[in-house]
Amino acid sequence: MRSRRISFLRGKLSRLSPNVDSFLVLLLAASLAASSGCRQQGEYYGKTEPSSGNVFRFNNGAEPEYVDPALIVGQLDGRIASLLFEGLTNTDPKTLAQIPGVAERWDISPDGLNYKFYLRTNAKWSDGRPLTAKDFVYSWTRVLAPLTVSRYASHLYHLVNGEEFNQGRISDPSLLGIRALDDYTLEVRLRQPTPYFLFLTSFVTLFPVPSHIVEKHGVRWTAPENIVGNGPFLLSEHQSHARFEFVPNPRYWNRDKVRLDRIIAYSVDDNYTSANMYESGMVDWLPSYFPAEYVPHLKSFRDFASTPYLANYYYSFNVNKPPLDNPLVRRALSLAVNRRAITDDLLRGGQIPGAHFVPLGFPNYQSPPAEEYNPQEAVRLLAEAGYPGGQGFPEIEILFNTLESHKKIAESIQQMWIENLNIHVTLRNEEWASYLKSLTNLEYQIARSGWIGDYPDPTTFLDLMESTNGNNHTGWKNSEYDRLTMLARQETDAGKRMEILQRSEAILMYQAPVMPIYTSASNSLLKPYIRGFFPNSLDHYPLNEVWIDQQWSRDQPSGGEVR
Amino acid sequence: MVQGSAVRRRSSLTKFILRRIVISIPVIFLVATTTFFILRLAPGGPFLSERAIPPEIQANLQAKYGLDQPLLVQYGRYLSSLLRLDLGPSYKYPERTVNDIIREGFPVSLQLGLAALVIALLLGIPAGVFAAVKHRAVLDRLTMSVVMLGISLPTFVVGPMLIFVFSLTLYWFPPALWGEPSQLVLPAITLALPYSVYIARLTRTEMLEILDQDYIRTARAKGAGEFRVLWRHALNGGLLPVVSFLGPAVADLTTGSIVIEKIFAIPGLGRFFVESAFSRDYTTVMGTVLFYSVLLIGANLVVDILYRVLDPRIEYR
Repeated sequence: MRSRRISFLRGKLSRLSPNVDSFLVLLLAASLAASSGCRQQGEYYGKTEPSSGNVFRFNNGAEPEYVDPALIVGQLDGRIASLLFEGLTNTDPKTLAQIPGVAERWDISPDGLNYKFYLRTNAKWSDGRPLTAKDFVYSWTRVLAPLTVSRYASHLYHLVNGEEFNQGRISDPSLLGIRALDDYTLEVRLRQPTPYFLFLTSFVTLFPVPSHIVEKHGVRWTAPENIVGNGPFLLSEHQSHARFEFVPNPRYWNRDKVRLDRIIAYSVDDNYTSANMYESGMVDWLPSYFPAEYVPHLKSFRDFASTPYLANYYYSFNVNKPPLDNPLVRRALSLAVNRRAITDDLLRGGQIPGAHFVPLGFPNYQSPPAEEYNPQEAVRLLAEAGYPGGQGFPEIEILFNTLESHKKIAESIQQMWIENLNIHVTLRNEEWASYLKSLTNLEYQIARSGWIGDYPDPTTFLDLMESTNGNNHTGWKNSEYDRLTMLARQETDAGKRMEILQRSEAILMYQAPVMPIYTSASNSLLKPYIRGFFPNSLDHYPLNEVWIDQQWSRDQPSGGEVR
Repeated sequence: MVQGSAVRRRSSLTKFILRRIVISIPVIFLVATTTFFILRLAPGGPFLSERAIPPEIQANLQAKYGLDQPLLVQYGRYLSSLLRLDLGPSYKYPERTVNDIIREGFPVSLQLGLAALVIALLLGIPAGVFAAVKHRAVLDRLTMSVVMLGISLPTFVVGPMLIFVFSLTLYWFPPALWGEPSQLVLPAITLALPYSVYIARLTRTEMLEILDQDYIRTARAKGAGEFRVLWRHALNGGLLPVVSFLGPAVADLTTGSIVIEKIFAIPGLGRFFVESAFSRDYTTVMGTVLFYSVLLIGANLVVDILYRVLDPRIEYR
């Protein structure tokens, strides 16, 4: 899911007032000096007294664009919707396995094409109406309906006729591969075996929405006075650009497990402000919303956590333009980048260096080995491509969207290429919308890119480079790669499927239309008195069973060990 | 005679206001037109996304908001909904309209601005008077040096400094958010400081001049106490330039400050001004720009009227 907008907003602030960053860093240094000197709270960052009452407060990073699950694209929007709604399945934050949600159990046919979900009879909407299989038929059809303009409708292209219906090639919803056999049995037919389909049923886009409310209130159905959900919490208040407040949903089927009395989600989009709020004890949890330059210092506190995250950072090569149309050149450029220097010396934010496109942390997948840094080999490849010692190599340009960290990385790579390959490299930065346009229209040579996985399967990354994929902004087309991607879709044996995917990734590394740099890290701050929280590579944190340990004291093991 | 001239004055005041309102209409129209077309020159659009959207969906999105129509048709539609005071749905937050956003955000900016104004006056006027009385003494220099410091420090420096001292070290005030009186203190002071500095300088200059004048000397000769001389006789005149400064200052303060709203996470209107431009949220950019234009035109009109009320010698034209 998309979350880069957050850091992008901060980039804007620093552009408005170019001195603000360096000043704040100075101020931070002063405050750190002061806090270690005067306050005896070295172990944890800021105040550690729980708030009175059973209230969990966190900063959600910005004002969500949507609350309507069908329309959501952003990660922070998803956090709000996941409190209010629940899908057929849930993802267990500890094991990332699929556990029952609205569906009590399910059957999958041996060919992996047919799913039967048996809904629990005690699942209800928060206004008391029973939640039935028909609600899912309505909600999924709504996501696919062309006029809903759901940007994640492609998650339901796995359904028979899903893509055709969404793109207007067929208009009869009864042809879709979803059917209510009775009130509590839902049948889903897929066009090809999709091993991660049960994960998608836990994803926001596939959440049920209340037809009676949506039809009655139209676009206003998500306003606090109208909204009806089926999740563990109810929306009690929404102050735009300030906060959302939630109370437990008394009709939630698993109400007994919910231990919080209230949740407050703030929409604070300035990372410095956000860090101040955490330090002064106004919030209990910050999922990544603090300045990246604080991370090296924050690492020494026990309430800081860093986990690898299913997201990568890479450079795209526009393979249509010489000299980057030559795979030898692209591989030479890739081998001339010292990734460890970027992650460990420059960023120091817990990122994991690597030249593999699929980030670390996928269950049951291992990327083929990749050679990361070898300047001699890079020079040799460049010579083989016709540029011995960098001679005659045309000037190349790196494009990135305006943000301090992108600039630092680009400058560092520029330096490495100049030193290792003796070539000319220039930098170009553009603000977000212009950058997106240049990227989409292939008006660049080398561009900063990044991707966040949508589901825990390597194809969420590997599919990107298929020649027909709309997110392949490199111009690269490889028929063998496309063939393997297609093959993986048909393969029902998990082991064989992973082998096919490894072969795909090997092609990607050898052809190098992209230059992966690192696997991202998800950094967070969590007060030590919070319980029921489990770090995982999906950045998936259900709040259903979170509770606040009012008896917490410094002598007890910290939340970091218990959670 | 006296009555007649009062009636004439009142009718000429009405005429003046009417004329000013009539003149404002083409100004607002011009602002709307310029903003509309300049916005469309910026690369990208509101529905550009990092993730590819199937072309069919992209087309539906464009159609939903009429962005597939020729530009002139869009412009005509925009003007006609503007006449109905409907600023349209926000493209970035489609579950809300631009009218909602202004209705929710402006009262916050207004409260913050008015609080800052009160603080600016309470700090600025006494400081100016004090400096004038202690003219050329060490205390004058000291006061005016502090004032100079206030001018040189931008809000994005003062704000974090106040947060550091009063929120993160002393724990007196919360460092962010909005809704409780304690959350008003730091942002209001930050916003007020540059204005109080300006007011102090205006007051000092004017007071220096006035304190030299005959009627002050007369008042002193008649045995009035120093306090009475200052606050009753001198200050009345000394405040005139401050009053004329208040007009633009009020408009400035209440339109919200993006820097302060961001540092203190205040859900005001100021931030939309800048952020909506980056997200190419056409309707929100247009809405906030127009709202501010109307606000500024209104504030200027009020100031012009006040001038004339305060100083009857000024003719209405």
